[in-house]
Amino acid sequence: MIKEKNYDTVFHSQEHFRSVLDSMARPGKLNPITDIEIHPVEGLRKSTACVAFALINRDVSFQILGFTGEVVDYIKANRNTDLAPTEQADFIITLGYPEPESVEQSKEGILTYPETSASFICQIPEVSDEPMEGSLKVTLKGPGIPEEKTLFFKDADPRFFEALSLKNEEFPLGVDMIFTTFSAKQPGVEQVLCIPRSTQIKIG
Amino acid sequence: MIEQKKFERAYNYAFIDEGTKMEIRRKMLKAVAIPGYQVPYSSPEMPISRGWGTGGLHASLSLIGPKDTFKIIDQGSDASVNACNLRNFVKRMTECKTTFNTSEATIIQTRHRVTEEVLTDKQIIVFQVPQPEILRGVERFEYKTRIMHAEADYAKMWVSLYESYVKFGDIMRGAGYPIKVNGRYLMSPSPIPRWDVPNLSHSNAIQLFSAGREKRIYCVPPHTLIEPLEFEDVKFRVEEFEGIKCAVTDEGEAFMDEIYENESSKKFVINDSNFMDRLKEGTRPNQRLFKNPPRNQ
Repeated sequence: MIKEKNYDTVFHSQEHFRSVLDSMARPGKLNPITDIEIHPVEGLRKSTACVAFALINRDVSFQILGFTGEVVDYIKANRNTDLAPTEQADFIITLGYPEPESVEQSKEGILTYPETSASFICQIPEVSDEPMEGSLKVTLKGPGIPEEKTLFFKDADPRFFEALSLKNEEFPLGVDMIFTTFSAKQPGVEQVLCIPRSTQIKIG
Repeated sequence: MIEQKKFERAYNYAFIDEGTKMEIRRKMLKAVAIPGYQVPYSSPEMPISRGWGTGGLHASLSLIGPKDTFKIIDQGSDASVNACNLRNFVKRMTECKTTFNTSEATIIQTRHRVTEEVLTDKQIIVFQVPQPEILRGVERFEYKTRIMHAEADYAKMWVSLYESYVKFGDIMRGAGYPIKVNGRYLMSPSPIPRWDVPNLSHSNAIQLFSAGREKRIYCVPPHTLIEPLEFEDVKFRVEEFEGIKCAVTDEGEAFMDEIYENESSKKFVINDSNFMDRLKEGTRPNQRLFKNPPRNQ
């Protein structure tokens, strides 16, 4: 299994974390993930690997859904951590939008400790501020957004956003979503986008 | 053969080891996602005592990278002992640029003040917090305050404010005025004066609060509603400096320090040192000023 030699655990993780933090604080804002020379296994985008490397280590557990076994081995080899069932995992990495069932099953925390919930890292198709063909219009509202933010998610399943709204209905319980995506206008630029549990989602 | 490996520096970049930084970063993301909720974190050992700005350092050092410009203020001043020493420490550990200029900084660590100048969306402000639990004054047990936060049961705090009004005719809280974040969590803004409290609301910058001794980290994301607790007939008010001018710049409308010169005379000086420097240069940076509601009767 490939172990990344070029990944700098100090500076790359810091840079990528700052992008994720800015996106988390401003839901719906697309922040670039700086391109670095790593070679993830087929199917896994660099940005997804970078976000996972910046946040996951031996202290937390993770689950991988939709990816091949090779991806599981790759993350395990580089982050030296173990898989946990979806109901217990701290991080859930999915290919495409998660199934509504896995959103439902994931940890949502308890009222006295709402931070003991799961975070999703989802590798999804394009997302844009402007309407696209075959895209789903989603309007976000909440802390971090001045008024409202409208985004268009390509090939998105409305059932997933419904499940997410339902999961985050009882604030402060819920899950936080980190999406890794790419820009069609600027080829080669990979981006990150977040929807924390405090955001209200309106579909259509 | 045994190889002798010489490291470039004696410490990891930004002092804290990478595993701990990653843990603090994960907790920061949770704090951002749950505005106002105090997330427990590891609070590693630092070369200064707990309660002297370790929390702020943990947050700043986990955020900082070589491209950042760091500014640190203590009670508004860039030049106080605490600020100078922490600035030197951060500079030695990260080799990043440091500045006094508020608009140039990307990370601002602060103790007990928010900068007078309006922050931008490229900036992160980190507060050093001595006591993150706003309910500690009315409830001594942690497990009970935790349940109170979980149930959004803030009756004891309201009663305390009411009692204060009955006894003294005013809400007797100067620094650390209780605020409600996004209509849910009650939060301590750290001991900033009332003057700064309205500036936390709908700020452009990410506002992180970190308490090292108490091992808690919490956040007010940008563009988030902050409401100071107030009654229908007793409103929240900021400090009044009506007709008072700074002795150095002869300008008003900023938070002032009251300096006693001898038994009979006193003068006022603008508290935010960079803001005062800019006034001396002849430019007045953008400010957000809160207008007090009229007093009853």
